[in-house]
Amino acid sequence: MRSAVVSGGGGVNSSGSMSTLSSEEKSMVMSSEDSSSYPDEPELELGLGLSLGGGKAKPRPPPAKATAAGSWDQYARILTAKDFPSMVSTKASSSSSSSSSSPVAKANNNNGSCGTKRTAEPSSPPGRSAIRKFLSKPELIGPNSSLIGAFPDYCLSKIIFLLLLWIFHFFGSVMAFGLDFDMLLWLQFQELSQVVGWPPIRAYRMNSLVNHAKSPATEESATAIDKSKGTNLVLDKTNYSSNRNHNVAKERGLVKTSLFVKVNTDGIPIGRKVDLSAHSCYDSLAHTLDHMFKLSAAFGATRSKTEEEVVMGGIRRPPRLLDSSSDFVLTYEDKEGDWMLVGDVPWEMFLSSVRRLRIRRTAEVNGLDIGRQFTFFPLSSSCLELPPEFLGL
Amino acid sequence: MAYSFPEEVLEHVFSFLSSDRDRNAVSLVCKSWYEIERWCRRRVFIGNCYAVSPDIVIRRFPEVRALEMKGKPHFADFNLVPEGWGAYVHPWIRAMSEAYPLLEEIKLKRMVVTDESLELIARSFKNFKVLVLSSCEGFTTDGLASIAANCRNLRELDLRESEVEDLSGHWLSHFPDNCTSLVSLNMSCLGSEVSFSALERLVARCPNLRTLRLNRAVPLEKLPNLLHRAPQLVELGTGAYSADIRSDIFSNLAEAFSVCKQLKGLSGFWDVVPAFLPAMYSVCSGITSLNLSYATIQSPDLVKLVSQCRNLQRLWVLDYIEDSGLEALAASCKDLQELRVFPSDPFGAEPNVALTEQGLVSVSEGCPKLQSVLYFCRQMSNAALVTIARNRPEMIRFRLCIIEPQAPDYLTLEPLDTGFGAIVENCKELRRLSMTGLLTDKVFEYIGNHAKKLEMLSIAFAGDSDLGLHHVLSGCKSLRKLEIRDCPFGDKALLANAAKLETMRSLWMSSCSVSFGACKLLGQKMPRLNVEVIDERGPPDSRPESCPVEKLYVYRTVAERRADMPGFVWMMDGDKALAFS
Repeated sequence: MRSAVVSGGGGVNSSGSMSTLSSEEKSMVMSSEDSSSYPDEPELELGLGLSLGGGKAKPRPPPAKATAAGSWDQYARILTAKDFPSMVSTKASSSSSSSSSSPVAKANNNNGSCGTKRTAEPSSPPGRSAIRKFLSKPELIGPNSSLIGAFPDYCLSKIIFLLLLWIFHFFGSVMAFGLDFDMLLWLQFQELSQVVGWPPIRAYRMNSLVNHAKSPATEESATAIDKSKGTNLVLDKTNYSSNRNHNVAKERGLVKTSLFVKVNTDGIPIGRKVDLSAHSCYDSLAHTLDHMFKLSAAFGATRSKTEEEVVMGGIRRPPRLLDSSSDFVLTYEDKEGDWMLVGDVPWEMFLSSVRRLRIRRTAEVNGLDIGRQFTFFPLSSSCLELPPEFLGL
Repeated sequence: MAYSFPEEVLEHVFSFLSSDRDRNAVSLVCKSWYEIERWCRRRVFIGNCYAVSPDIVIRRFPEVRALEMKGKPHFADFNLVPEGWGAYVHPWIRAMSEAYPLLEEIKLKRMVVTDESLELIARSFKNFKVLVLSSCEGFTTDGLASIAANCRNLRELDLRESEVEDLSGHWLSHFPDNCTSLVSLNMSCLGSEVSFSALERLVARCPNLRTLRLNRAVPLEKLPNLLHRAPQLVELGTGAYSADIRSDIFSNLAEAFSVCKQLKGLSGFWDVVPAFLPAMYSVCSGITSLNLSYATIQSPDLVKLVSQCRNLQRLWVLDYIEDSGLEALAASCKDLQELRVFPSDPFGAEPNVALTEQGLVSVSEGCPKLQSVLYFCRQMSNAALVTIARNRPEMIRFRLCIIEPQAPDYLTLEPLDTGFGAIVENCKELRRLSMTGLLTDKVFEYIGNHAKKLEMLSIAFAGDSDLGLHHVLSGCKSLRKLEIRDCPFGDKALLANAAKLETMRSLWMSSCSVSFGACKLLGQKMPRLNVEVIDERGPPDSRPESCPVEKLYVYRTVAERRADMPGFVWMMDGDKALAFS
């Protein structure tokens, strides 16, 4: 499953383009470049006589400078480590002028500094945004209160920003049709889930955790109620051939006619479920998915060249999911197993044949990702879904 | 005297050799022993499906009855391997359907299995008995239906943790009425409800049923029906463990459990309503394996349950058990061998439960047989690790996950090098290690020096330089699998230890600093390794050679280049032209 880092918390994008690095990040990166003379790195003998010309794979040590960023680095050594000088300099020059408000996600392009990178895919400790680390370490705040003194505006404004954003999202999402409780939890998931595959828990188990998110204390009463609805549901569900996820529906004590399908997005490891019967047209579905997956925010982050735009995520009207101008394409798998573009058939027909949904990234265009020449996701049914036998290979 | 023993005698002697290593050793003695052994090898284990091709296996071992195979690298469990990477089983099934008509067992892990493959299995192998699909994907319940319908002697159908497209629960009803051979059925990963009456009848007519793992959809109040029909069960996985709180449901359940005198293993326990836990108490004294890792119940209930299980050997539980619960565990379960503690709220910013390193320390103190640990927590100290190491020198598997990447010793703020160093130094039998927390090159030095029996090492967000990787590759003699993510390891150590890679099953490195040029070089110089560059940014040659690759997967192989690579995988081999097809 492809995973992109979704810019959670409304923030910065992590779509890999160096042009969206904040000035903070750049300075950190630059400073690590400067301290490239790491005196103590022992030379390894290349026993096989193998050698590379000018290999630049020198891991970067923590910058010795006592920069504001540098003082974090003892806890975040590898976070800032890996950008290549050549890449950094070319990108940095074309980067946006960033405001003082800082990145949420340190999409550390340790691999991605060359050419494009899908949203911080192999994001290293990137997902542990420096901010998050900072905020979550009481010991940093206590004895090292000098850190706070160093940039009060920075962290305060960051906290306020995050709070506002959370409130905004909370209320925004409450208004979105088809919201379920999972969504709010998902908001919490954002930051850590920016690191792909961390913590190392199988998807199988994670999905179970999501469903367990209702507090266990209330489960006793809830289940008792659900159960009475549940038994009725069981009988009805068996007639519902196109229904999936019986258990989920049962747990929530939902109406009989719910039609939950799985939705996956490129870049987010955890799939979501959406109740299609709660919508009456493609537009409302797209709107919900937009909200669910923060596509506009991610999109906004990708496109925007300035921090303000990113911060103010909602001000620009983000392209809608079904627009051809959107960065994302909504596809669905039908009963035959083919992947189709959503929107081609009448809504009722769609409902009767859809099995699951997938939001795919369209080929990144407009020179955002320099050097990328490949489209991995043809808009027609993805050949990556089928094993080679079916492709006649 | 080459003909002193007739072949049949030698074959008979060899039939007592079950271990692959022994059989491999035997086959190297002389040509005739090689021949005899290959004709009588019945079980084949392939740790990496791309290390060898079906033709080679079939050519060498013409009479195989059981195949066990693994596909994707372990980190695929955490979504690090993009979809479509490979590990398709169909070519194997196709080849075996012709070559091994008497095949009885197929056990797969992390492979892509399609309905077509399942149908082919059902059609081709008349004596098919065992199908275990562990963490597999790509098939639907239709495929299961064909297995159920056609495999007349089916003994085991185990779908543990596979991702199955759940079209309906109807597949279970495809077991014919004359199917009475089932010994093990594990459908816990399925979502849909199966026909309960079909399940009941199936259970009733299979007198040898030992393992039954139900899925969440099977309601608790119906569980007694199944238990009464299968009192000989040894392993039971419940469905959702919740029901209306009614005394008749409770007493039925309690009575049903009391009938199952042979129960040793319990699992399932979704949606637990604590009030129903005491219904199980009658079997607790015999329980040796308890999987409560989906049970979101709090520590007091957990403790009450666990302290009844005096003979417990394996416990999987959520961190709701807390330090206090683990202390109680250490006090009552002296036979405990394996403990796994999973996080209930892995993404929460703050700890939601009082589970710290102390819990693990208590268990290491109280359980003298503890040898396998998987522990998720939010803080760790060197002192705790040293204590654990000293308490349990016979530790075999130690996997620690501190949820925050690069978390230092929370007491001293130092790296956890000393702690993990103590683990490898004291635990001389350590075979598997996963490390997290703040770690420098020093810990790798310790590992290289001491972990001589280490076979599998998982590293994340650790190390300072290539020296770390070099220590591991040059020092760990028994290393078979190495998986690394987000570490500053680059070309030097990899290239300097290229020969080591041929002695290992595989190496995974993602988000490290290995350059494309190094990968190419490695591929060119080491023809018996497949060097796969997995990069979703487009062809690696569109970027400078010094640019690091996203993911690197290196494994030894005697097969030819695989033909099923998707667009984001590039094979580094000598022929540059082929490398970017």
